[in-house]
This record gives sequence, C-alpha cells and structure tokens, in this order.
Amino acid sequence: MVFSSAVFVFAFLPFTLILYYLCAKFGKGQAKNIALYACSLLFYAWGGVQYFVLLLILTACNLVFGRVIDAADKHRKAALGAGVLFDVGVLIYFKYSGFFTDILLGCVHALGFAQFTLDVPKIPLPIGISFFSFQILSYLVDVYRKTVPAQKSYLKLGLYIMMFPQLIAGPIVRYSTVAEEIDRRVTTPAMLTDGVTRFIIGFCKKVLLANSMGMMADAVFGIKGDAPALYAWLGLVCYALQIFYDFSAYSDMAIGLGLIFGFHFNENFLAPYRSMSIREFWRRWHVSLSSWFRDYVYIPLGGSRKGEWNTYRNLLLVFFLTGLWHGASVNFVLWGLFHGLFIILERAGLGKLLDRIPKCVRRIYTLLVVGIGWVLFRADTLPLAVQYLKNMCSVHANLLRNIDILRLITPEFVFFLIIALLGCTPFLARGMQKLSRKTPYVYQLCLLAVFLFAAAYMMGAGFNPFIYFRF
Amino acid sequence: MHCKKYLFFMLFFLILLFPLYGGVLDYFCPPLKGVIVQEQAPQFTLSGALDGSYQTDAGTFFEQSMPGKNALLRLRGETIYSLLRTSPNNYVLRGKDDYLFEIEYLQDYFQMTPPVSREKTDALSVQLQNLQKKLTQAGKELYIYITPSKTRFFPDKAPRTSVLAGKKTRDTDSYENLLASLKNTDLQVFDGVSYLQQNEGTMQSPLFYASGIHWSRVWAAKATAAFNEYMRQTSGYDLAQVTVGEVPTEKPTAQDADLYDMCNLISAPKEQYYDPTLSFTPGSEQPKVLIQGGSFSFGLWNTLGYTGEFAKTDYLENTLHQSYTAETQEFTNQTITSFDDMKLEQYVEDADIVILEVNEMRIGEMSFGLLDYLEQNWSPS
Repeated sequence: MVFSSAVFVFAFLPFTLILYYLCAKFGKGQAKNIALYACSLLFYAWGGVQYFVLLLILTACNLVFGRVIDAADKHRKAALGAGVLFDVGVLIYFKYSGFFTDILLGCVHALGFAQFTLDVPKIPLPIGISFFSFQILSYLVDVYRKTVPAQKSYLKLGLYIMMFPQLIAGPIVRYSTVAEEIDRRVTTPAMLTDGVTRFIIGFCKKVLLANSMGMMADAVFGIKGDAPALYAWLGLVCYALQIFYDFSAYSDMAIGLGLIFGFHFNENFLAPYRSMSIREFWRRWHVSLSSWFRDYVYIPLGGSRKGEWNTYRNLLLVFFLTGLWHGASVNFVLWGLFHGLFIILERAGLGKLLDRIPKCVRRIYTLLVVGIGWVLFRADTLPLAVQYLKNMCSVHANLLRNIDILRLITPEFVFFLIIALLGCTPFLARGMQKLSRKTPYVYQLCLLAVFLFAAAYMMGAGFNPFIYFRF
Repeated sequence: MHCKKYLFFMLFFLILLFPLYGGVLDYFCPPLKGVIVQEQAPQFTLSGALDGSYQTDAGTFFEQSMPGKNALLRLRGETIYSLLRTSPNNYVLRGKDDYLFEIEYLQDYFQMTPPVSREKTDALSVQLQNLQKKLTQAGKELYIYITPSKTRFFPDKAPRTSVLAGKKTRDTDSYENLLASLKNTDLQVFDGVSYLQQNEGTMQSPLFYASGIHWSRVWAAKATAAFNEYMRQTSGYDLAQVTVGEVPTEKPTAQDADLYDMCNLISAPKEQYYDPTLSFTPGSEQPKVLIQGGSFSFGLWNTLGYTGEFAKTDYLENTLHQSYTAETQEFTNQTITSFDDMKLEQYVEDADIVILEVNEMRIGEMSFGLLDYLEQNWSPS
C-alpha cells in the first residue's frame, strides 16, 4: 500500500487513527502498540500476505539473536556474526540472487563455457526489504555495542521493524531513536499539528510535484535513440526533481505520521540540491542511509584513520554498497561508484579547489555531477545511459518535433516545474515559515485546501475517459 | 482553547472521512462523462491474497467506486482547467481561446503522423469501386460521404506545441490524396469538407464549437441536408427534401460540447449553442438505407435516419448499431463486436442504398474493415 493511494488516505489512515486513539484513550498497557502493530501488519499484508509471513519470521529470529548477543559474554561477536549473516543472507537471497546469478553466468560464458546454463531464480521482492533489513542490522549491532538493551518483547521489536510509516520507503530508523517511545509516548497537540502539516506537505510533494515531473522524465527517458539536447536536459531536470520530491515526500509523510502516533524520526533530506560539493550532498541526501553506512560500515572498516589509500578503499566500498542497496543492477552499482569517485577526488584535493571558487560555481558543479549520476540511476540499461549522456551533448533540431514531449509542456506542467524548482531553494520554505508564524490559521487552512486538491488530483491521476468506444 | 489546539487535526481528519459524506456531494454533481471502464469487485482467492493481486484489485475497485469520487474528480478537473489553463484529460488538448482538440486530429492535420499515401487511397478507391460494382449488380447504390476535421478549419486555434511539433511545410494530406483518387471514378462522393468551406458563415452556429471535436449539430444537419439533395438528384429515388434552420439554446446537446464534457468540470461551457430545426417536403419514395461510419456520421442518423425519411435505416457507428423502421416506428439499439457476429451481409442485402461515411482524419482506417468484410463475405444474390 502506498501513501498516495485512495485506499490509504480514505480507508486505512482514518481507520488506523480511530483504532489507535480509541486504544490510547480507553486501552490499557500495550493497547496502542498492539493497535499500531496490527495496522502495520495489515498495511504490509496489503502488498501480499506471503511477504508478511517473512517479516513475522524475521522479527522472531532477530528477537532471539538480540537476546543471545545481549546475554553472551564471550561469544558476543560470534552471535552478532550469526545474526548479521542471517539477515544479510535473507536480503541477498530475496534481492540479489538473480543479479549475482546473472553475473556468475556472464563470467562463466566469458571464460568460454558458452553451453553452461543456470536457472536465474525469479524470487518476488518483498516490499521495503532494503529498509527493514538495515533497521534490523542496526538493532543487532547497537545491542552488540551496548548502545541499547536487547528488546524482550516480540510486540515491541515487531513494532520497531514493521511500523507502517517508515516500513516501505524509510527513513531507516535506528532502534535507539525510537526505543523509549515504543515503551512510553504521548502525542501532544503540537505534535499532532506538526505531524499533519508534515504529512500534508509530503503528500502534496508526491502527488503534485513528483508525479508531474515524473511524467515528463518518463517521456524523455522513454526515447530510445537520438534526442535533442534540450529534451535530454529537460528530462534530466525533471527526473532530478522527481526523485527528490518522491523520496523526500515519503520521508515527510513518514515523519509526519510518526509524530501523529507519538514518534520522532530523524530528518532524511536536508535540501540536498543546495549542496556545494558531493561530500555535502551526501550529508543532505537520504541522511538515514548515509549515516547508516558511516556508522555500520565505514567506521568499522577503519574510516579515515588508517591512511589515505585505506580511506579511499573504504569510501569506494561504502559507495559500491550504497549503489547496490538501491537496486540489483549494474547501473546502480556504477552510480554508487561514480559518487564514490567524486568523494575521493574531493578528499584528494578537488575539495580544496572548490573551497576557493564562488558558491554558485560549486553548486553548478555539484548539480552537474549529481545530474550525470541520475542518468546512470534512471536509464534502464548501461547502453541507454550512454545514449542519454550523448543526447545531452547533441543537436537534433528536427527531433524537437516530438508531440509526446511537447504535449506535456502545458501551463500545468510549467506551474509545477516552477514550484518544484523553487522548493529546492530556501525561498519557498522561508515563505511558508513566515506565513505559518504570522497567520498560523490562514497557513493551516491553505494546507488543508491544498491537501483536498492533492487528494482530488490523486483520484484523477489515471482518469482519462474516451469520448466513445472505438471499433 | 482545548478544542482550538485540535481544530487543524480535526479538519484534516474530516477530509480523510470524505467517503462517508462525499456521496451527498455526488448527488448534486452530474455523473461523470465519457467511456469509463469500471472494474468489478474482485473475487477473493488465497493465491491472490498471497501475491497481493487481490489487494491491488480491491484498491482499484475502492478508488473507482468510492463515494464522493465524482465530486473530487470534478474539483480536480475544474482547478486544472480554470486555474492552470490545462485540460485535465490527457486525450484532450487545450488550444488558443479555449479551443479544445483531440490529440489525434492535431497529429493528423499537422502531419505528426504520416498522411495516407496516394497509393493507399488509390487502393481504397479500387476497393470502393469493386463494392459499387457488386451493389449495382444487386440494384443498390453506394454513396461516399466525407466529413471534416476541426483542425482544418481552426489551425490557428491549435495548441502552440502541436503547431511546433508539426511539419513547417505541409505535404499533400490524406484528404487531398483521397479526393484525387476518387476524382476519375464513377463513385458518388459528397465532400462535406468542401461544403463547409463554401457555406461557412451562412448560419449563426459555428462550424465547430470550441468545446467539441465534432462539427456542430446545426452544420452536421445542414451538410446532411445537402448530401440528401445530392442523393435526390443522383439516385433513382424521389426522396424528401430537407431544410435546416437553427434556434439558440442555453445548454449544449450531446456532441456539441463533447470534449468539454470529457474534462468533467464543475462549470458549464461558455458558448452560445444552437439546435438545428428540420422541415421536410415529402418525396414519393422511401428506400431502405444502410449507413456506416464513425462518430461524424451522427448527422445522417439524426437528420435522415431517425426522422423516418427512409423506410428502414440501419446505422452502424463505431460499435453502435441502431435501426429504425419508419412504418412501425420500431427502434432498436445494440452494441456490436464484429461484422461477422451481426451478419452484416444480411443488412447489405436488405438495403437499397449503402452510405459509407469517412472523416478526413480516419481515411487510413475507412469503414473499419467493412470493405474487406464485404469483399470476402458478400456477393449479390
């Protein structure tokens, strides 16, 4: 179930709110946790009951692993190793077995064994597996590090892993962030207001901006072959906006829903397109993922403490994994390594050079690198990515007459494009803050009106009736 | 004070509960217009629940049948149309001065899709002549009725993006190729495009409304009356004479604002609409007629078919088959899936006159397979 669907907004969410607040008001003990957990199970089961059983099993196994790690004195490391191996194994099996089999097959064929065949497993991908696997891993490592005590309650650990606001699209919440709130939490009126505000902003970002930009990005990236540079750049800008608004919208909605249910999740996107270097970009983009890799991979590998070359190796490994985390494909891996390369270059001296040039040039540099990275990320295959990059530098004036793209350039699209671009600058956020401070009720009324419109927009997204049935 | 703190949340919650009261709004909203494929409630299956397909179908069903959906869709449509000056329907493009167009008419006129070649129109012409031969053998007559495209008459109102996407210099188009192919044949052709060009401005009603893709009902009737006159003079039948007038009307009827209707807005279109008025001078003969065409042929049915000028009219428009018998005033209406299923050859056998309508935009697919079907399945008895 996605947040931007009628069944979530008009059925699941009101039902969950009623159940949760009834339990909070009249229930005893763990009533509201039970309510939230039950609704989260329903939320996940909506994507397929088979996957939901996997999550129940994962929760049970990690409850045991956590307690064993916590209780063990001598063999803590071994217990942690077993837990990590199990969770990573599950992730690899479901997400990467097809990818690795493909690579293996490619290598064997390259070695001259062309007749060798292997069935590439077609395993359905459980929704959100990358997110909940990383949450579970952080829990085990935090228990090992004694940052948090092992959870004894299946319900509470299950709630941490499966809590629906962040279950399928993040942010990756650390157990330490919510452990206390799972035990005891209150939702203040201010939290409700902030939560609803955040949810509405996220919802509108997704439905109005990300989807509008996505239509143009899909149309341009859908061109197989030559395309004029103007379209290629337009498509890239739209895709960059789409992925940012899509991803950050889900984080906004998750943070907002978290507040409504009494949880404080960390911020996940901090205006990334204002970054002045790739290093800064990764401090602002998908913060929960980059900090996860920093704390659980980069630092344990030695971070930057073991010499220059080891630092570069660690960075490349982290960004290789970052790419792989985003998807089981060569393009994602290359995208990760591409970013890793620029992080290394900036460490090796480019960063100092950047510090000496004007801010606007630094921003252009960052946007350019990030943009080229998005081509690798978005293109279906590597040859298509290369073709797209070529198109960005080409002139094909006659190909400008593409009605599939031109028809999308409507006043509606231009309006949302301007809003989306403004949203990447500080101006829109400042304006909204100013309005909310000066006239909070007007601000809230505006939000509700935009939410109603966005909900209507969502309902009509696929509604394009024909005049009559054609023969 | 306590309530005030929760007011924002409560109002938000009220929006979430929209399906509970949205049905009331639907009651005041006109039903949605256009061809909408309504999903059925899914049947529960264990395998469907396991892989999530049942839930997906249930979600779609909920979205389609949610109370208040009509009101929300009209709110969306109106906001996009009025505030963002864009058509909310992907198949409809908004041009200058609020002129609406269906994209395929723009693609055809501005030659974003290649026009039907002269070779193809020649082949079409041969096929039509073959059919005419067979019909003549059976004592029947064939008429070709060419209807116009809105874009030909209002190219300056087209969206700028379509003009940009089109070729700067237009080659010969499908319509011109068809006319050239038909020129040296003995086929009986009535050219509605040329009729409109020659008679434009003689009625108050516009040729096409900004809000519709079809020609206005007044002009459809007017051209049909002229076509009827052409048949009266060229066929062996003493047909009735039809005179068309017009009266202003408050609201548009049927096709006059079809594209505007497809946008499903709240506000009504802001144009002056006209209703055609018909008067007949009876003839001495009433042949049986088979009419086949696309949506532009509605004037034939409204002006000649359903008014009882013919003894019997069988009218095939896209997937629609309507039939009217003047003597018994019997009217039937059904949907057809194929010519085979309806036994088209029997209707041809029964008719005295066969009229094939083709819109200039649909020349490439003229008769929707009827010519091929009759070539294979019908011979004069």
